[in-house]
Amino acid sequence: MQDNELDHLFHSNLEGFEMEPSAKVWQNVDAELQTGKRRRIVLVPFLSVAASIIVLVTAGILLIPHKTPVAHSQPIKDRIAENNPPAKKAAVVAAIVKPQVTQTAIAANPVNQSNRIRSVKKNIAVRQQPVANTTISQPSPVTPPVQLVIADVPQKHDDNVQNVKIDTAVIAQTIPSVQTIKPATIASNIPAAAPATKPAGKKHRIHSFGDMMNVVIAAVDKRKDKFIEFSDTDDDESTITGVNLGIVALKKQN
Amino acid sequence: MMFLEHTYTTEDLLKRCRAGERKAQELLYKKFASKMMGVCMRYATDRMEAEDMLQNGFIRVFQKLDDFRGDGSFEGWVRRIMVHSSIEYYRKHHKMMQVVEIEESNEPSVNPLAVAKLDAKDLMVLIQQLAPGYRIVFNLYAIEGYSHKEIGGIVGISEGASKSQLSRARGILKEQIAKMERKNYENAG
Repeated sequence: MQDNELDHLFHSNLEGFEMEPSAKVWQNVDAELQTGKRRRIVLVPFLSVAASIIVLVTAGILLIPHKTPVAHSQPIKDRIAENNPPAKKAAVVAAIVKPQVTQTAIAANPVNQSNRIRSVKKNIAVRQQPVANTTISQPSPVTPPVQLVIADVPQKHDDNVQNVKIDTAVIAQTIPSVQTIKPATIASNIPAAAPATKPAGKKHRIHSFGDMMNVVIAAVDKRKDKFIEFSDTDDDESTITGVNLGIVALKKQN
Repeated sequence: MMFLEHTYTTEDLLKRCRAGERKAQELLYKKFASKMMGVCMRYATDRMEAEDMLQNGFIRVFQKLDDFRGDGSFEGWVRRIMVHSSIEYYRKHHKMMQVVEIEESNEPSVNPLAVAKLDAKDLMVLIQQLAPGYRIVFNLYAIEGYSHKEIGGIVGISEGASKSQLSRARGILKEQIAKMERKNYENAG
């Protein structure tokens, strides 16, 4: 038998050979296809879970403060004593002292204002001298700031005490609105300044990269907890204090 | 209903299979299962092996369905996957180059028949009794119609090795057929 005869014998008989496979073949193929499909479906939530974990871990690393975290309930002075190095301590002390300074400044303010008003009104008083005489007898509603003015006056203006007194009375009478407003403003200024630990007007200043980021993010993200928040302290390095991803929101207590 | 199932064209089934329709996958499988079982049988030692090859082959067909661009017939594409799946099966099971010579005493279990009377099943048994290395090369050359160069590429052997394996395979088959003829003649006599 020739080679090609042999090849032809097998080719003609077996090329179109058919045989029914057992039913388990399809069952196995089908099972494999279904598990493959299931694997793809399961993969989607798995990937989102994995992504969430990565985000959380990253956020966790970024949120770990560079300094030892400070307990919120602890008094400020204790915090200074325990946690801050001497250099920082001075800064924080200054921050605490500052309100007192502003307070005294506010307290001193009426004096200056009164002085200013007085110096202005002095001229008026001089011109209205006859009228002023009658006003002296009147019980003037003298308020503490005005008393300060009177106390202050003899030191600076010892040339004419009477004139000054007239002046004050004139001020009291002619500009009652100034007097009534002044104590009110002082009263409102002092209590407002006293309990505040941070100096007023600080929030709006951009000191660091974090502050700048906060401003930019606030412009885009109108939510209470922003997408990402940075510390607004005066530290050189800005730390992330809050992350809000919609589903997951983290915020560091300040 | 069974008649309706057979009216689906391969193109329809492919479209539905690509959309992930399970019923269409089953219909496509049924359409080609018997033919492909016939292919796998030639490469296997027995039916069980052939079914393993068929199963792996069909899983690959469904996984790679998007790769079929419609160049040439779908049946030809599936057949090529089955052949590769069968060769892969031996590669995995390290049976590829195990050349087990059929000894004289190891006679085929077919009934002694004249060559003219040899039917497909008898020839299948003969081919299955070849060592896997010989069987693969003989199948690829004599039935699939590949050249020695192509066989070398598919199987991962040299062109010369393909030629010598084919030669050995033919020799064994001729020997077996002659033995059957002799037995048939003896029985007749």
